[in-house]
Amino acid sequence: MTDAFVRAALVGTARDANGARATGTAVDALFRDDDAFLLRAGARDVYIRAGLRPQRRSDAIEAALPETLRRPSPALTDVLAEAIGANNLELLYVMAEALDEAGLHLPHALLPGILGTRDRQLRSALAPIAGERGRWLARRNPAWSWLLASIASGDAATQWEEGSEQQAADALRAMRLADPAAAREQLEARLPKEKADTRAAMLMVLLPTLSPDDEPLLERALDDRSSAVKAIAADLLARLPGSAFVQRMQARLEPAVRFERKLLVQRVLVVEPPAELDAAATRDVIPSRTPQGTGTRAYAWAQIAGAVPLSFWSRFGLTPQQLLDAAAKSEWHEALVSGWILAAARQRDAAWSRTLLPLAKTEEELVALARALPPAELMQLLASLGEGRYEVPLAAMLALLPRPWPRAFAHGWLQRLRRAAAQRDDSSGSVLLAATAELTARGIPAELFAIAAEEWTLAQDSWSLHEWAHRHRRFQQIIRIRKAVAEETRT
Amino acid sequence: MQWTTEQVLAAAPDAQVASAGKKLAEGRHWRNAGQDAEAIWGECQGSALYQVRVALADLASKCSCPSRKFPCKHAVGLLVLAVQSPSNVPEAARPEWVASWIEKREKPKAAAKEEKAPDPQAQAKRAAQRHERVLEGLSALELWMNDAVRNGLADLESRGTAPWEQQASRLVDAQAPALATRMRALATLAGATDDWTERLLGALGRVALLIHAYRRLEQLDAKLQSDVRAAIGWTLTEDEVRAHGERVADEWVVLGSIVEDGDRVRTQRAWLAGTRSGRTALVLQFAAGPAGFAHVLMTGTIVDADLIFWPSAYPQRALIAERRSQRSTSALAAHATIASMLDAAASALAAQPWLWRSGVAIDGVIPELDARGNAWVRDREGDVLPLAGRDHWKLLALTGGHACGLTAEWDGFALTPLACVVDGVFHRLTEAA
Repeated sequence: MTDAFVRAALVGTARDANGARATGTAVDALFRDDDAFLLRAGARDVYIRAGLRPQRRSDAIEAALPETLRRPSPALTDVLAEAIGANNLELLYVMAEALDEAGLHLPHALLPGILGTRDRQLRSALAPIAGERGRWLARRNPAWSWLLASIASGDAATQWEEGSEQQAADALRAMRLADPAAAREQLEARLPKEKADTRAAMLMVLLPTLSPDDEPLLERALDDRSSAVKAIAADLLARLPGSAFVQRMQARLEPAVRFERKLLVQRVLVVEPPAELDAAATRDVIPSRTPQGTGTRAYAWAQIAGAVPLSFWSRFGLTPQQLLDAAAKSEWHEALVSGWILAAARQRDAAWSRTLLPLAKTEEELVALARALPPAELMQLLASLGEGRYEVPLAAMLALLPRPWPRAFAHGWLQRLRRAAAQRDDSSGSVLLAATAELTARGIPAELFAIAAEEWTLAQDSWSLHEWAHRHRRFQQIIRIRKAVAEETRT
Repeated sequence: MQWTTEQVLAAAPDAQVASAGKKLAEGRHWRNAGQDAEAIWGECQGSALYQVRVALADLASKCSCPSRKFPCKHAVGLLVLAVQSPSNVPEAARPEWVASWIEKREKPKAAAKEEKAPDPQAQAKRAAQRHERVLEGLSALELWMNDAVRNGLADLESRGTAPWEQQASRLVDAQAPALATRMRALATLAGATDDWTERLLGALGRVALLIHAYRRLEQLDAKLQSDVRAAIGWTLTEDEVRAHGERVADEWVVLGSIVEDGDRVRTQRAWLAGTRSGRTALVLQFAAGPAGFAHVLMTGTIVDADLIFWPSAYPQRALIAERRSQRSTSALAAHATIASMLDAAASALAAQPWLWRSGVAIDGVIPELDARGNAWVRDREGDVLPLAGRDHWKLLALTGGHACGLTAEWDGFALTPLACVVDGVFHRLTEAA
């Protein structure tokens, strides 16, 4: 509803011949001149500004509920503000985890600076610590509404129907936890309509909640058009010991291995993989997935051996190490080891994993085997990987340990880091060790914070100095956050 | 030290220095750090050993480092250290290198340079020449504004900021720089809000009134003459202000500040409210390049100082003549209601109709958003005022539908929030200087 006077100015007094030239108020009398349009506008403005009466509203304002979590102190707020300012995801995960463990909510003032994140892992870490204030804000800012979505029940169905691929996969994961059978039906109905990448990603969602009931679905997925989807189906089926797939594989394995005794003492495992794959075997083994540099027959053999329960081998009455020795001379030794590694990782068999660890050829195999070891043994293993000889994915292996680490191990690893940082070491092992600094900062227990906060000496002439300096900075940032949160809980 | 880290970091000239300073705020970087009632000091191990000293009254600092930024990261680091871990900065006797600096600062500046008294005749002649040029410039501007209204503001809006820039540079040539700045600011009004026509017409109208008044300057009251001259761009030197301005001693609450980036110069508007006098003061500061502002005015502190006001029918602009001490506060000399704040604003306008904006403080207001995402605050009576701008998330996060004390800049239409007081703690809402 624009005033006629203002309208005349908007349209133009020359174009609006009959428009208002006066304000129709007492202001007009101040200027007699007909040409005083703008002077009137100025006086009118001063009068309106001076006489301004605000609007009234009586509608209820929704106040945020009191927080149920404890409120962080100003000192901790400063530390957290700095962490958010550093704009490093890893640091934010640490922050969220530490606050959650301590039962603290995020400081209110910092919420707007972090709720805008698009990172899914961070979002789910923030949901429990955003507090009542976070939800109050999320109801007002559509960009933050994920915070409400992560809490609302029944929301998974909408995300599954209408969400992005990523959201649909998340929704499927949630539905699987609530009702595995219903989730499977939804997935089965949807699979034919999706492209190969999506089919593969959605099948992968089944892994943590895999059950024998999934077998029919997976068996059908073996006939998928995409070899990537087939390979995932085969991997999942191999993790179901009672499946027909595993039995078919075992039926292929049995005639191909036999035991011979030579010269009374020497025991030899004779391995003769099938020379040809029939149609049924081709369907299970998926030879088109053979990596470059590997023969199809060797690959098929590893797939077959990797799908069979390790208990199969107990019929020969030998330990894993004795079996390895017995197969050492075989032409198919390497393929057999690959198969055993696959099986040990899938079946989380500690005894087999222990034996196979030195034979792992890729980082992936090494980590998969390490995962099957009990934590105490894994710690022993990590500690024993001697200095200069750790060309292994230390960080990935350390990440398998439950946190917080036991004091003795944590202290030992910390000392090792500090020693390595102080030494000139131009090997790539030095960089691999440096890469464990952040995990160490996350793993060490609270009683070591004081030691951890001590300054490190960095070897200035090392070519990896930059790497060490960077890791060391992150290490200290993480310790600072964890220490500040710990101090909060103590008081 | 009773400051917060946030307040101390506001003293840093830019984010880089603030962040570098924070990193230095650990005991291990410092030796021989100490403080007494007037100063804090310490030696920082950088690429060399730097001696840092900071005067507590005004946070002026001196450091032996070669940084061109002021205050440097060492001074900021020492302040943060003193706030966060006071045990690292114990009470101590002032070493000689600190004492000599404090002494030097306290000595009044050597008597003003004995300049030749300017020739009054030549000065008057120059002023008369400028007056003529200003009058010509104002006539040209008046013609342009009348044209703008004749062709319609809708037409003007469609042509973007170029016409405004052109008028602004003509006014600079006509030696009316303050009015030039105002015209440049008006360029941002067109199309910006729902009520932009109303705002723009009002603003142009007031410029028309200013031109009208300047032509009849001698008919005005002496103080209002100062306002009209100032709005055109006739400036007073600080010495002239010191000689003729009104001096007010008070404890001033720093309500907040806004920094605007110009081409080469950054301008800071800091709003102060006198706890005893009830006066509002605007301290304008300018900084070029990496330098910080000469006076550090931290939001949420009380500065015990003498201010001298520029002559005006409603004096707001002031300079800091003498500064004694500074402390943290959560007390706000605030209006209890929006109506009371508007009454004060109306009296101010009655005295000085070209008043553009004013710093205000209102207690007990609740910030909220409407369905369209526009922010407003409501007082205990149910009166509502809009907030300028879109991003009020920090204010909303801090208040969550509960009442707070709010400090803001009022421009007759909307409040631009400067800070809020929640649970007795001041939170700055504008970017650090």
